Amino acid sequence: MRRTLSALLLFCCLSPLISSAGPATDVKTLLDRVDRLYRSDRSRAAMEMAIVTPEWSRTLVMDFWTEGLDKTFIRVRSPARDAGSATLRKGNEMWNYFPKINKVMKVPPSMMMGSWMGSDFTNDDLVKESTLIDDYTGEFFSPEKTDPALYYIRLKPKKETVSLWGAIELEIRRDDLLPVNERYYDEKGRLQRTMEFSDMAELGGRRMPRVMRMVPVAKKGHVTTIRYLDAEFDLELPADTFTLRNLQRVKMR
Amino acid sequence: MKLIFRMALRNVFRNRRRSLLTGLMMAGGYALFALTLGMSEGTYGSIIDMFTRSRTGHAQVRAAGYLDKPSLYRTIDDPERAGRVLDGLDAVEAWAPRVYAASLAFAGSKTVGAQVMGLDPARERLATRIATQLSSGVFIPETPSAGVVISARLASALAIGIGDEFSLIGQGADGSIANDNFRVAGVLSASESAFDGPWCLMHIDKAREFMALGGRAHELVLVFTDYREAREDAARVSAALADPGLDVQPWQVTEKEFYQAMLLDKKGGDITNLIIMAIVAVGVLNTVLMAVLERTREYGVLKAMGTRPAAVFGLIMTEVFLLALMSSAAGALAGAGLNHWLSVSGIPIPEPISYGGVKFTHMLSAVTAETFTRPLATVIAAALLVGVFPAIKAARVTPVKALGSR
Repeated sequence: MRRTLSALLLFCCLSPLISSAGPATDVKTLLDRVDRLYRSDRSRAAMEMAIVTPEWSRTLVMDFWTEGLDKTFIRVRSPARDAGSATLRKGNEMWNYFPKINKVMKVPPSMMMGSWMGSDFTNDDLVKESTLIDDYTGEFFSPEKTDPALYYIRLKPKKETVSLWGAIELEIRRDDLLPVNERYYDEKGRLQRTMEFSDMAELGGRRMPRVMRMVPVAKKGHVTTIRYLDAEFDLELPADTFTLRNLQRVKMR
Repeated sequence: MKLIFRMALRNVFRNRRRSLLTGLMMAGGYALFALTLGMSEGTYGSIIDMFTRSRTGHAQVRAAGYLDKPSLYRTIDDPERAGRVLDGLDAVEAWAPRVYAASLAFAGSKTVGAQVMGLDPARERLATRIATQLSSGVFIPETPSAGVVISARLASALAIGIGDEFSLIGQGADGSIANDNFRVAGVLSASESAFDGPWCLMHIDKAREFMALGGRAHELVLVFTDYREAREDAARVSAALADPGLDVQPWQVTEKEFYQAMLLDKKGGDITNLIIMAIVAVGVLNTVLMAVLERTREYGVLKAMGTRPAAVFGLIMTEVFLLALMSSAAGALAGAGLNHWLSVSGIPIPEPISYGGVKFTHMLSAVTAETFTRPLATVIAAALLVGVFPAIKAARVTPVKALGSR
């Protein structure tokens, strides 16, 4: 779960850089580059999050700002019931803001595994920092059915890493180094959730998968799909973007 | 046979004083037993009434499986239709829809988990006595508003009182984050309300808006014309609703713990009844035995004249049976009169018990079929049972010895 934000960042900011870096032949180099490239980025994106559960389904439209790996700001645009709700994450801390009651709530550690806005992403997904090279060891592997157009990388958490996952399998296209699939396994090797990437397109001058589809295996009938509407990279952000004060600013910028 | 009956009848009336004493013993036993039963029925009746009217009603309609696994999403999708069916049933005196949700309550720097219950104040007033359980303030207004009633526990946990504002955050049924501000209109009594935990009661339409529930409901509370018929009436309602997606459960099912505690208590009462029955039986045995022994000479004469032992046995048993029957009639009259009087005026309790906004000041009795049938069966069975020994004794008597005795 910890890598989801990384995934968001990875694919909105960095993939093009990877693709321009030529074929990576060694996992370590690739992961190191990914991690290093995370660090210096600012981005703004608008995205649509479609959540489907057996009981209900809904679509949120939200604005998304990031700086580096540890700062994220999200503000919900629609539906009307949730418009103005905002989330700020700074390092390991996280706050939610609810405009109707004008309240900023710090998300307690016990709620970190709770779902963010009813989606299949947890609060933890938005908060956790993760560096692939530091927290995981990766190696190429060949599944039973190998697609020659893909790299297959299996990541395992290092001993000192606190991770929900026993293993993460990545499938990356050889030609443009864009990911197509991520599979998360628990410690007993059971598949827990999959994330599929699709709709590779130009966004903010970069080529990236616009759609991410998260399917939690254990929760039947649950799917969360994120679609990028637009994105900008390496722009200047107002200095107070990642502040508690900005949370309560209902007007969108 | 007819002869034995006539002889038995004559014997009963021959020694009036002795018959009167025996009869009084039996009639007194009957009346005492009837009174005990009446009091226990009456007390349980008022406790059940108090308990069910304080919140749960006599039965509840819910989405199938809700009782075992309550969930925001397990709803009665068309409570209006169910309501129309309920309105058409004679057994249903009143019904009221409700919704429930878990939430987090905030006031100032305090945060606490709170149970939200949405109700229809007008309907609720007809069905239950929740509106009388306030310690201060007013009940939920009949039009949806931010005014809510909170339990004493929630009030103290958030340190708020009448007129204060607080916020609730919860889960909306559409996946949204339910959040809104509310104002305390009333606070439930700490000791005299059926809401012990941190509860927040609000208008059902306000709660539906808060939880994005649309027109759905989690529960319909039913009050029947007679609580004793709850099981049968619940089955009737279920048949009338004719919806496999809905469960109709009487209070015995929804309030299992309370019901079982009551059954256990009733078992304890049965032991008391058994003791009273034994006392009545011993009394009957004593008087019947004396009556027979006194007349040993008489039976000796009967035997000497050629009466068969079986006839003597039959004679005594018939005598006892006739006496028991007449005493029962007298006992029934006395018992019913006493029970009726106590069902109206009751026995005052020195320290009134209060529950769910109802003061329990008098122990009331009740006149039910059981207060007649059980004492009747007990007295007659006891009389016949204890009559067997003296009857056998008399049947076996040797005429010579009997005639020699004084």
